[in-house]
Amino acid sequence: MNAVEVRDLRLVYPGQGQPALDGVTLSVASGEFAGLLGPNGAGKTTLMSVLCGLLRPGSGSARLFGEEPGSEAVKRQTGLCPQDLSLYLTLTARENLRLFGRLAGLGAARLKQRIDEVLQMTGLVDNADRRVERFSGGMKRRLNLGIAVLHEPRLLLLDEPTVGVDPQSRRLIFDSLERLNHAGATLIYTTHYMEEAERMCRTIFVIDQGRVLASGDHASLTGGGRISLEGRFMELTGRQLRD
Amino acid sequence: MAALIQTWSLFVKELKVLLRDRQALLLLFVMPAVFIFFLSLALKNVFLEKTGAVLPVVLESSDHGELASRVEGNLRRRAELRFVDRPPGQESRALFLRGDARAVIQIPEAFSDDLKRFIDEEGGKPFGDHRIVWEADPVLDATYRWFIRASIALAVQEAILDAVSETEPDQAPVAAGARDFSVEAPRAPGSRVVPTPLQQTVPGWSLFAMFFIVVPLSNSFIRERQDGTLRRLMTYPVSRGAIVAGKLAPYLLINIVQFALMLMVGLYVVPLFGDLSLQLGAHPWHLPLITLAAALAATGYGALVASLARTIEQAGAFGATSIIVMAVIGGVMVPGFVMPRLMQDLACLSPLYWGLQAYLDVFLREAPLEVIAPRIVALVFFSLVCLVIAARRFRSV
Repeated sequence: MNAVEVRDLRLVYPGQGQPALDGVTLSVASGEFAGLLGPNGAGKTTLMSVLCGLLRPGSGSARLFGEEPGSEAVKRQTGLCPQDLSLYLTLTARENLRLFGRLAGLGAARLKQRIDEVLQMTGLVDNADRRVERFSGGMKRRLNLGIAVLHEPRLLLLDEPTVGVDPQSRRLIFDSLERLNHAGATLIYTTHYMEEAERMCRTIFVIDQGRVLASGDHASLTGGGRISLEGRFMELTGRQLRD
Repeated sequence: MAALIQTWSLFVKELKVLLRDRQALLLLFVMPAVFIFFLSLALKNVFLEKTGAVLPVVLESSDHGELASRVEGNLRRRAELRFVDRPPGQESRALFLRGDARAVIQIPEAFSDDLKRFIDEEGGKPFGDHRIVWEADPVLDATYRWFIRASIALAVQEAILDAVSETEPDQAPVAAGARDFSVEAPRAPGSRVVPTPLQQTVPGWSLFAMFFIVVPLSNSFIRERQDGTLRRLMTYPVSRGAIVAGKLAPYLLINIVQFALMLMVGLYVVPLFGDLSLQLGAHPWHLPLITLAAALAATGYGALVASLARTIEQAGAFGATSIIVMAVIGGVMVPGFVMPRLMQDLACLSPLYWGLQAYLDVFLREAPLEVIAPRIVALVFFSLVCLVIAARRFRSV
């Protein structure tokens, strides 16, 4: 069974004529590391929101492990690392992790163990009891990811998780994601950094204006290396500036 | 069980966020305590003049004659006057400015002689030049000026009656009867309408601060909406009910703690600094019920403002301004008993008025539950209306 099956998904935001999703169809196999590549306003975050059950599509269908997004069973198996730093700044890192771990349904002993593991994974052990408002941008990004993986979801949705971080934090995030993927988790990763998609993703979906313009592995998209991924991306999405 | 754990976790989160917000704590706890402390002491005289003050008065007599002593004794027996000594060299103006005395009464030398002559002549000749002179604090209420004048006149008349009774025993029954033509009717239970300073300031400023919960509450709602934490919460298997309950319950708790602490300030702190006390009335166990209803109203209003505002700045400005307006209308800033009738009628538009009147019902009027119940129902209804509108707004955002 595929982890994600999306068929002809359409969504128009109220008051906007242009659809945010305009017939998106894609599937992601279990254990896959898939990338959603697209310029600003392409529809990546909207698609993520539909997969999380935060938005209902106007038409079409989405299934995660064969079930509707937003159902309790799906929520338990899904982790979202949002583009915004969705953290409680006046709480400590440990308090943030404890809160979201409880909401995910982790029991006390398991929660304690997982918090220790995630703090280790994100390099935040020494800062676990500091308030997040005193963290650097990179530390906040790592915590943002740590919360998403805390309950060991089968499907991890990552919405531009490395925006504005230094190379050290970026490397730590990449290493963590690769380990999670090797451990069996399915990852969907949105970005507009070509090198990130090339390095991390086995399957890439190029999205623009609410449509999937191309998909496949790196070799098939670049014609076996005849053109760079960035060149192919610009061919597909054009050179016009996006707001 | 899982839902309870989730709600508890959200409750703890919200409480920690709130308790780490120093500005919110100043606003919710320090502001009302300061208002209660200073306004109770500053407005003590204003309230006391309405409820029956004991006026501090300097009484100086230069005449040691028998009649002057009788007049002085009659004045000193008046329970409404408290006699104080003038500090050496202190002028009357300085006494009034410092608040040591509100009036100075002086009995001149030879007053007894003039009064005796007046009695002996049976009023056939006008009173001599040695009259009692009195001077009042320029800001003293006209009613109290009249009262001082009447007290002096009464003291002199009683001295005359006593003198007449002694010299003409057959007039004694008339003189004795002339003292006692009226008697004050006993006050019916629960008929007080004017509170003491603390009975007004403690519930008034507590309610004001309880409604100010709108500022941190709407800030928290809007911040969660803006920074994405609310969206993140929604991706977890948590019901909306648990999110709302975990969000609002800490503010309800804070509201209740606010009132309890302000009650403590009124009962134990302010009396240490001034001659004031807070009487709770005959049914103080009604206070928790009123406080819970007021807390529901304040929290509901906070949720409504959060749902209407788009930014923290909007919520802060609108929330704070609207509460100040409700407090002005509702008799928190200007007590209802000094308002003209029109303003008293308008006061019932403010939920702070319903809360304040319910507290005053308990403190002053010894009201049974059925009397305060409509006010409690009004507060709860206001809360429900706010929450329903807020829920509809949040759903559509």
